[in-house]
Amino acid sequence: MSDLSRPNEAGASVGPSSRTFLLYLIGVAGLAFSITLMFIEMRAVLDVGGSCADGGPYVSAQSCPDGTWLMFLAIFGGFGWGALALWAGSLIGGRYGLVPLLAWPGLFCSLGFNFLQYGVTPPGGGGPELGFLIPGILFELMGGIPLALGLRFGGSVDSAAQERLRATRVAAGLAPDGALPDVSTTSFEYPTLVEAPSGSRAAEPAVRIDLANELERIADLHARGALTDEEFATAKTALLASAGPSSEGEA
Amino acid sequence: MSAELRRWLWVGVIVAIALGIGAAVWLAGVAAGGPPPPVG
Repeated sequence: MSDLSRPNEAGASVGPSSRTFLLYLIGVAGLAFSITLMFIEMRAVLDVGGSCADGGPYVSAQSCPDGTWLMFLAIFGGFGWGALALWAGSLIGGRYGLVPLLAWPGLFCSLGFNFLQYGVTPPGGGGPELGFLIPGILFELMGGIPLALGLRFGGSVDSAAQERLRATRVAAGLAPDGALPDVSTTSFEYPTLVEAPSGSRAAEPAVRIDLANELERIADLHARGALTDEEFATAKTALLASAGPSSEGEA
Repeated sequence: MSAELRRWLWVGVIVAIALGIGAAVWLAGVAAGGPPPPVG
C-alpha cells in the first residue's frame, strides 16, 4: 500500500486532510460496531436453537429474540462502514489502509467462535452438535487463512511500498525518511538579480527583456500623449545609455 | 505525515474500535429489553 499524499494547489504533497482522518476513524469504529453487533445477535439466535422467524401468514415455531433485527443493520451497515474505512485508509496509506481488511477475519473468526462454542455445549444440552461444529470450523478457516496470509505477506507488501517511496525521495533529493516538506507554509523568495561583472554576458538576456519592456512602456506613454516628443527622446536615450553599449545597437 | 501524527492515529484507531464495540454492546442491550431490574 503506497503512501499517498494530498496535493495542494501548487501540486506539492502535504498529506491527507484532517477530514480524511476523521472519516477513516468513523469507518473503523463503524466496522467494529457492525461486527460486534453481529456477534451478539448471532448468540441470541443460537440461544433459541440457531434459527427463528417472525412475521408472515404462518405461526412461527420459534419466534426471534428481541433485537434480532439489529443483525440486518449490522450486515448492511458493515458494507458501508467498510467501504468508508477502506477509501479513507487508502488515502492515508501505509498500514492504515490494511486495518479495515482485518474486518474479514474479525467477522468470520468471531462468528466461528460462536458456532464452535454452541457446538461443543449446545443450548438444548446433550453432546457435541455437528450442525454447529462444521460451520464453526469452516468459519474459522475462512477467517484464519486470510489473516495468516495477511500477517505473513501484508507487512512485506507495505515494506516494498516504503522502499519505493524511500527511493523516490532519494531520487528527488529529499531525506529518505521523515515528513515531506510542507511547501504550503514555506515562503518563497524570488532570487535577487545582481549586476553581472563587467564584460560578462550572463545577465544580458534579462537586461534585454527589461530594456525592451521599458522602451515599450515609454513608447506607449508617448503614444498616449503622456510624454512629449522631447521627453520621450530624452527617456529613450537615457534607457539606451543605462543598458550599455552592447544593447544600444539592438534596441 | 509526521511520526507523532502516526502514533496518535494508531491511538485513534484503538479508541475508535473500543467505541464501536461499546456502542454495539449498548445498543444490543437496549434492543434486548435493557438491563434486568435491580433485585430487592
